[in-house]
Amino acid sequence: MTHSRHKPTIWKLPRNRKAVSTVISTILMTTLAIMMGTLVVFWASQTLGTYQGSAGVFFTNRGAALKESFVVEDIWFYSSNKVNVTIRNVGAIEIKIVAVYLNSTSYTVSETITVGQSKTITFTLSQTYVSTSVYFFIIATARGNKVTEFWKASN
Amino acid sequence: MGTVFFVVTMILSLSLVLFVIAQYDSLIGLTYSVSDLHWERSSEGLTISNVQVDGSKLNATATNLGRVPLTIVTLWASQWTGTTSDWHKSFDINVYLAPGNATKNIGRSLSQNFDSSKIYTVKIVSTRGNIASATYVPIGNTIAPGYVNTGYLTIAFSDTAFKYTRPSSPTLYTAWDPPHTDSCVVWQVEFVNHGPQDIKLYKYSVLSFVQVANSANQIQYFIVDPSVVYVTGCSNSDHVTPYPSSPTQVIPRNVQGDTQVGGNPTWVKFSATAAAGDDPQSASWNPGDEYMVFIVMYYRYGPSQDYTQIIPFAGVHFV
Repeated sequence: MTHSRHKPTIWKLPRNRKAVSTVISTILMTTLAIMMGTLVVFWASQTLGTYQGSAGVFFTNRGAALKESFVVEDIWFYSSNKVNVTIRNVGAIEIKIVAVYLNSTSYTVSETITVGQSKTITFTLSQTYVSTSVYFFIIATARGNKVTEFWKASN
Repeated sequence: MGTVFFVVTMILSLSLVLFVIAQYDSLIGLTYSVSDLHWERSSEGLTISNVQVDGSKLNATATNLGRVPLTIVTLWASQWTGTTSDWHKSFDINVYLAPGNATKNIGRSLSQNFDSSKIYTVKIVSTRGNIASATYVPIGNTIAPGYVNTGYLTIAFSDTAFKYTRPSSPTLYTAWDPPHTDSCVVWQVEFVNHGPQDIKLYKYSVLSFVQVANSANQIQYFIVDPSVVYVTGCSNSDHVTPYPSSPTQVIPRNVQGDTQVGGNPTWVKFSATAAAGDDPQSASWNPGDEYMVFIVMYYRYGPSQDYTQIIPFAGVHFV
């Protein structure tokens, strides 16, 4: 009988193969963690910076728009197709008038009015106005504020 | 290392929170300041009244009925002939008005000449953007747009609107319960013109007493010159300045545009025995006499409209 000569095989790791030592692995893990942490911090600071920037712009714009205030002091029709619109800046910030709408017809203007001042904007109508008729005006600023007025062509 | 990341993350988070708080706080502060601006603007009570043309100069009264001081910075004026505009101009002015104060002579310093026979629309603007306007309409011209073509007189709604003076004394007495001994007097009645055009009184205007117990007993006091303060006596030699005087007495038009309130109250005096007469009326009253008083006013309203207006006025009881 030869069965007794065969012993069960036990697999063992070879003791002479090289691996990462405990020190190295610690250094690697630490480095990896630092890199990832740095990346996260960098990303977070970038994101927050962007958010802060856009939020700052938003708050600044809203604040500036809130400071705006203006009134239509006078509107005068003359020479059959001309209109003078006099606007007074009664707010706390300089305003820029960018558009005047007359019965939904847009007239592009660009007039800056400092605080406390009034300016007259003159524009020419595309057609002759009708005396004693009532016209609807919208005056808009660059910051999006607007004033609406009904005005009778009195001349 | 973890502590470092934790601290960095916390600092970032905290800075974000602080940033949002700071921005929000700033916005709230701004909202408050803007609200203050709006409050101040709505607290102004700018009005313009008594627009006149004196000589060649504009003359108006501006009043601040609000709670905050204001400054008028612009005056707009348009001259009209009928419904056609002759010119439309703005003038820079600088008029400060404390709350409750009024300033006359607005516009007198303007270099622009005005014509009393023309129509003017006048508009004043404050630094806060409030606007007030009024119209000047001369006698003889068409009525300005927006006015009602009705002119009439009423007695001023006041218990002091009926007074009199005794002979040789400027002291005014309330006339509702006069002593029966006050026979030769100058009656004064305060009128208000509710129309938008001046009223020029005619010499036929008269204040009449009708005795309640005997309607045949009537005593008339015709209008006299507004400069008359008192009579010197009851005889015909004690003259009063007759009516019409020069210029004819005018009850000024209602420049406010409020037909119910009317224009400025104006005293009209009655004392003469006849129209345009210079003799003072004398009457004999008895204690306890009761008289109905009514006034008949003859006047020209506007360019050519002549009116006769009877105003039931009062019941007078002599004591």
